Amino acid sequence: MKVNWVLWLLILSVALCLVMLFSLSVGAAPISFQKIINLFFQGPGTSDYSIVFDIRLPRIILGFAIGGSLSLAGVILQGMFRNPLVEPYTLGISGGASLGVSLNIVLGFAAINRMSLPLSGFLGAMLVIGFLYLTSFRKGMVNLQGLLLNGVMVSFISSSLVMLLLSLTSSDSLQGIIFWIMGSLGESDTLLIKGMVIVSLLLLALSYLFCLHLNAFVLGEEEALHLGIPVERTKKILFLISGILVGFCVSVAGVIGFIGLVVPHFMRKVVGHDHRILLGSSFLAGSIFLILCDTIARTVIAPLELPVGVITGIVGGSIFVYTLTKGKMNHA
Amino acid sequence: MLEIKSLTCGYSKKSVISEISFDVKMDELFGVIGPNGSGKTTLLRALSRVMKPMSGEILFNGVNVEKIPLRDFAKYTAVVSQLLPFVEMTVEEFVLLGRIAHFENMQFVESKRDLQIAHECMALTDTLRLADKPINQLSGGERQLAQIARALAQNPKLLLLDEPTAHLDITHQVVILDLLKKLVHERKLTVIMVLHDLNLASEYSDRLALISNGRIHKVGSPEEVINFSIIEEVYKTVVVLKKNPVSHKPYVFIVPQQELLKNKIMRNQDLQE
Repeated sequence: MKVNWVLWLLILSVALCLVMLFSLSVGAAPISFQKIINLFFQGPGTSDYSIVFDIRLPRIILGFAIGGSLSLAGVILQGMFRNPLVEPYTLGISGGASLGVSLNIVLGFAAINRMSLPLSGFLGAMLVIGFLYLTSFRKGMVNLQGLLLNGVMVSFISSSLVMLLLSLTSSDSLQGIIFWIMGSLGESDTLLIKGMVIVSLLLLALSYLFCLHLNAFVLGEEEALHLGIPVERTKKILFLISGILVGFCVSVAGVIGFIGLVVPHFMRKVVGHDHRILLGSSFLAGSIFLILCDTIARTVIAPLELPVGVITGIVGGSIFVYTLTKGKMNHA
Repeated sequence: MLEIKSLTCGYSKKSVISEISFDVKMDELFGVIGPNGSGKTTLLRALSRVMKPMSGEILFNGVNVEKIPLRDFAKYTAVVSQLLPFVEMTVEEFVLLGRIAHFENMQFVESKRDLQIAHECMALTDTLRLADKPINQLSGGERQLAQIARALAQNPKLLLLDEPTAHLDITHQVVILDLLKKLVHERKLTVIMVLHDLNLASEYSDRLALISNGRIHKVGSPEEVINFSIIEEVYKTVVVLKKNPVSHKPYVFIVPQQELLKNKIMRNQDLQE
């Protein structure tokens, strides 16, 4: 059992490395594996070096952090709500971020300083988290159904407000907003990428302190309490962990859908329901999935690139439907 | 062991149970009976700390339970709730969840001892043979036994059960209640169980509390509580009481209304003759 877990983590880590290497080598200018390894030892100077290490690598690292975070947030939220349909964007955190960014673009701050974009997205996300926290977490008790409904409503309200902004604004801003909402790993600021990696790994470690709590939650809140889990405190912390993860992801890379819903599902089928393995393996699988999708997004019509959210939706959805129906066929 | 002192408890200002007081002694099998909606489950939810008392207190070995951290509380107290589990995990994984409260800080994987205890509890409840089966593929009786195994894996001193025999056939009813009786004797376990079935309660409980409209109606031995005038008053139903010929515990017979009418007619005929 425990041997299995180590094996899965090993397999996924190796797969992640391979996918990273693959993604480094393909693109508008294909560069062979051999060459990449040579470049690593040669050091900077050539144009190939800057393509691999200055353009492709940051993207891959960002994909690692964002894919992992979104999928981790998905596992945590699905575990906490005991609802497999909950995903990181259900709670309206992405909606808040979108609204923040849209406002920013419309008001013209983005034109003055590009760094104001992630900042406004983050502010929007944190406002929603704060709102949900204050409205649903009162008197030491948390009504999860209420929290979910509030989140869905916030999501609707903010997407309507974004629509309103879209309908009122000039076509320049329109394009900016739509591209941002579709999501992209094109962020090139090293500080943001580093920050994202650190946040995602820190919160992964933090979430592991609650893996047993999540296992107990599978049985329901009351049962978890009977097993000695401080349920109310746990719910608050898990909500904050997933909220902050999503807030960071959305403000750095826009709204990249589907990972947080599909990857946890898929991993549950593969490694089982125990959160001690599910958290880590979902993080790795999310990273792999997003890096692959991003590689497709930037190579299909190179040198132009497709929005990565489109690829995650199409690829992830198809794979998911395929495995689900295939499983059913076998059962019948 | 457990002292309940004028406990009042309910949902949002409306109290469901009020001024409940009784003691439960060490290694006693204590039954709680009462009509539907009388507050039995609420009482158990208060004892298991799912609900906070509005007033009154619950003392565990003299300490107010509110003052015990939840995790420590779970080391002495285990709960078997009314709802049977329906999850995809295997029986072994399910029973091992009972060990969580005993994990050290930063312990993520069960130790050999945890595994050993879980296996002992599964053997005791005859679920060891199901260890690798998913819970949701078991029958109701097997799921209830798995649930009891999980509670025992917590190594509790106090075990609270909410209708452990509901929806089970007589085989499982007897298996489960015999097991509880055995645990009380062999492990010095204290058991409080809510039961619907008066006859099972009478047969197995050392003492009984009868709850009616959220208040204690009577606490005492089965012979004292299962008395035909008390039962008829609380349940508002005509019953006949006899003794179980083997155990000599009180046994409640119900009387259908048709039979009552027939009896009356016969008695009238007797009178006329």
